[in-house]
Amino acid sequence: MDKAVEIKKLYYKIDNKTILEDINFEIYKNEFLAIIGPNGGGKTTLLKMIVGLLKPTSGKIQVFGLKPEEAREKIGYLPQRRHFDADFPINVFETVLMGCYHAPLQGYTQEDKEKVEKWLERLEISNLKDERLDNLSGGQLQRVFLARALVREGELLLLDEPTSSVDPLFQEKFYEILDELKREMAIVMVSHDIGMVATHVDRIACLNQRLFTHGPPGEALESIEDVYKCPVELIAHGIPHRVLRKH
Amino acid sequence: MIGLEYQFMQNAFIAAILVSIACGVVGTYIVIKRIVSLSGGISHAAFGGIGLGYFLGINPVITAIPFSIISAFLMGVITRNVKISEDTAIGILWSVGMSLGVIFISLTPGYASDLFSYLFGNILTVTRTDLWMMLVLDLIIISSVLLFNREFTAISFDEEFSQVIGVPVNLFYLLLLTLVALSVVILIKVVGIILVIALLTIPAVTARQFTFKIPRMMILSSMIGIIFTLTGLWVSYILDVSSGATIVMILAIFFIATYIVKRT
Repeated sequence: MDKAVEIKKLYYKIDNKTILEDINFEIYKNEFLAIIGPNGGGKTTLLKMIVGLLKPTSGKIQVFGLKPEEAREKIGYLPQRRHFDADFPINVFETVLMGCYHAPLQGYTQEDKEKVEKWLERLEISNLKDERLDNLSGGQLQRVFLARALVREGELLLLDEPTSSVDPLFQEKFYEILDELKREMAIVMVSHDIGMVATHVDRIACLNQRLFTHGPPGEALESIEDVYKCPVELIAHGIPHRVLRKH
Repeated sequence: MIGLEYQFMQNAFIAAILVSIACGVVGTYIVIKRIVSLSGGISHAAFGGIGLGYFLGINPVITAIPFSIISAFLMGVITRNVKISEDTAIGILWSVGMSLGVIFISLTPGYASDLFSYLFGNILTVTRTDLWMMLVLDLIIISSVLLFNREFTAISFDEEFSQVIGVPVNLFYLLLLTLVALSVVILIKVVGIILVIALLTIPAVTARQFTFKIPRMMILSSMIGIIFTLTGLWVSYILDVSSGATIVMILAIFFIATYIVKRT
């Protein structure tokens, strides 16, 4: 099977503090992998390395056989929405079109605009295309950012906590969309949402500085307690993760 | 308009239009990218360039150009790469720039006659040479924005995502700060270093209340700038008070009025 991502002996340190230690795993095309683990465990850092935003201290990351920054055309990325400025003067269509960026001095083409229309329709938000972002609900906003990630029509989709701060109804819909998308691409999702993750993904990777496991959901769930140092029932019921490391 | 028969009033009239264009275009990015403090730091640091001009005996606005650009680069590089908070870095560079200006002026023999106009502006002292310089800098700003609006908008909205889709984020961030520096230079003669930031923010934030499109925001902001800079100029002429401060006060009153009206 073709590898979408291959990570070997990856280490990442900041100021002599180890964030990631000896990470080894592969992600294959048409596979849906979830990375779970406590806050500060390195999940977002790992995702940022796969997309090329951070460079490892040592070790190797390859995306479709290339360095991450060389493979960006093939990557769709949905970052966390922590510092998002909802008041920014931009509408839904323009936001998604931004995902089609080519290079300086190369404008957006008619084909780009058609792609935007296509993905807005596929994610059922065509009716919102002229809306301002501050008029959208959390779920609608997340679909807009998903469309922005997908409009590049890459082969690898990276999602960083996509269902945080959205309502449960949208969460279910969101996973349905991902179920459809995984037929076309590899998906890597960082999530705290263990209950939902287990029923939709192919494999779960448990990360807390080291990668503890990366197996199918049933197998992985057994070792989650070791990673979190906390009973899985508590984690699944949404106990705030910032306290879990103290358990 | 009263006084238009005088050359200095004609120059002031044209200067008001030229500065308003720069303010409308660059001010829009300053407001939407939320780099008001950083821009304030660049404008104050530009005083070092004014002082250098006095020291070297050349037009201080000319020396303010490279000085402002270097200050902008330092602000951009230091705030991103040095492990001190952004506001601390801005504060340090701001005061260092002004201190350098004071030292250069202290080292210059004689009395710095029109120093006050560089600090607080005097649109009535704008010369034909200043107008040509403003026009060239305006053209540089407008061309840059026409060519790279996509990149400036992308990095203003979401730098992390911009990097992922291949926008050279650091390059365009520094280019944007360079445009801020050029705008500062254009504005020095009109409102002075101390009040520059008002013209770079008030027209844009006022326009922001009426439109949700970046290009329209730039145009509306420029128009607001032109109308109220000319109004300020006229009022200052009638009342015989400082033109720079009057322009800023009139802009601020208009902003407050529109803000209240929009929310009632």
